[in-house]
Amino acid sequence: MNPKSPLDELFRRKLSHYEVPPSDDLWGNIQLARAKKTIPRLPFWAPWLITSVCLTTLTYFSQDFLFPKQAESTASKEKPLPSHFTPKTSTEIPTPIPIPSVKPRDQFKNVAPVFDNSSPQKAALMIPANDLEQVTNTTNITKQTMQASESTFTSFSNIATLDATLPHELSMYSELLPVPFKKKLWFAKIDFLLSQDFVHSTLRAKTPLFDTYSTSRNNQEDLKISNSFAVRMGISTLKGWGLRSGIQYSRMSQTLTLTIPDASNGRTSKNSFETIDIPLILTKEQSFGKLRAGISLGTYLNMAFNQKGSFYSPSGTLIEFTSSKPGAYPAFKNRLGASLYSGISLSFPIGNSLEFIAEPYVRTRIPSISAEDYVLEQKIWYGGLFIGFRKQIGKGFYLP
Amino acid sequence: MRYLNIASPVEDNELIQGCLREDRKYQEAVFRRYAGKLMVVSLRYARHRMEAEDILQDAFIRIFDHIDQFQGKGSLEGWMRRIVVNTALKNIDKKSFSNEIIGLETAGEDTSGALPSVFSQLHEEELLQLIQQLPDGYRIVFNMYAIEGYSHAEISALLGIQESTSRSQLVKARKMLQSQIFEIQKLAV
Repeated sequence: MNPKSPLDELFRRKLSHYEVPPSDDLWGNIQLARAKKTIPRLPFWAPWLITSVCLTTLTYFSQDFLFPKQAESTASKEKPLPSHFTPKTSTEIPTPIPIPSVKPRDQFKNVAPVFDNSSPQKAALMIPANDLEQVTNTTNITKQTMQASESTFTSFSNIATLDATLPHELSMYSELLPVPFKKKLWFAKIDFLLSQDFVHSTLRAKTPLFDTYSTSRNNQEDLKISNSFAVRMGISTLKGWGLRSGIQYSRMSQTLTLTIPDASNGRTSKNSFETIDIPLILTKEQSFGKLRAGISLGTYLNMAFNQKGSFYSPSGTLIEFTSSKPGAYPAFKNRLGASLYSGISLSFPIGNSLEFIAEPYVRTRIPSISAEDYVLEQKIWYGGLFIGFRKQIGKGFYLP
Repeated sequence: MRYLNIASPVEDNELIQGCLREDRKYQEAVFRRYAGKLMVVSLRYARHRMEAEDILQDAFIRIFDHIDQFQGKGSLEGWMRRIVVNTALKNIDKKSFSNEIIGLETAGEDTSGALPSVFSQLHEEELLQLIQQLPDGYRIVFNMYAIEGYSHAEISALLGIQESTSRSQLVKARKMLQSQIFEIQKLAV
């Protein structure tokens, strides 16, 4: 033990049992800090990784059309020809499918037989009269394709082009089509979108004690404006079903005048909230002439990463919540969230594989954006209009 | 939220078991029981109350995160005090010690004699203020040596400074404290 001076002993004796109570909010801050530590956060590079994986996957699937020659040669080597479309010798001519002698069923009332005696490869079909013209065209195309190649039937790219011309109602005849016709043709598209949105937020007190506070905040904090930029990659079928994902940056800003009880003049605060979102949207589109209209429904993964500004506390003092400043009040979550999205998409072709898009939408954050330990629960709704361009990548592709 | 009644004789062992289960009631009971004492420790190392609260907050986070490492060899309070001291030392700027002249230590410590009666009349709050007014290096070494009971060798190892630096800082701290107390005495007379 070290020798102690009387001065040391004095300080030790007097201070060893002395207690000073910490401030009232220290326990709350400790709980909040521990809660933050236990919730895992996605690293900041996660959105970029996910986006790059999406892009790589799409590029891989669409390579048949990015490199058509390679795809054709691969297809002609690997794909066995369907037997009933293989050119036959005259001794192997199949018997045409007989026309039923019985009275056709109701759905075949307006049918006409297609029977082409000029070519041994043709078969007689029962096809509704409405579709007759389209099927005849299809048959002609098939005929031309067959004539062009005596030894091999056709390549994938030709079939893809042909499939693109077929109405979807013809799927009932798919048994009579070559195998590749059964596969769905997909299109890869990329959207570049900008939007300005109006944001409505609601503040609700978690306990009745703060009802007055939430009411005054609701009255004081009016509409906010948000600006967003999004890049969305999507795949869609000929029937108009599509799936889109990508990355979106949004910055919500708000200018409000803080009416603090002890301040004679209000103080203006410019608050902002920044998020990076990953949308996952299911779409269904339909053509109306040149115009395509559709419904988009989906979810957004939200990553809030920066909040800046201030508001006043229940006791009337100014609270700074800027997330980058040490000691800022942790009123908002700074991590993952989710939101629901719904929109109506309108697109119009303006050039080669290029479309103009307008998409009015509404979006709501499912969980509260405020921290668990904060006295108010804040929820927000976005409503706005995306405007931008959609570019088709390549001509189309088949999923394996 | 319903609090545990910390006035009732809940043993430290029971509190520790509750904390190990991450039960907030028990964590809060630990906080309520020891926060006052640990705040004094924190205030001794900090320059002001805000810094002391930051240190105490970080310390309690570490306490609850690592309470499984408490082996029960000493008292829970002693273990928690060490965490508060270590947390305070983490934020120390070593430059606080570099500007001191090494070798000023005197063999005979000038406070070995009996203290004037005014010294014992000082209140705890005044003593805390006196410590907080010391320069960083003086304050830390005085706290560690005089109150926590560390040796100069231990202080040297913990702070990464030479033992002679620790000794000189202690001497200067004592001199400064004495002179401040005498000033108070003069004002009181």
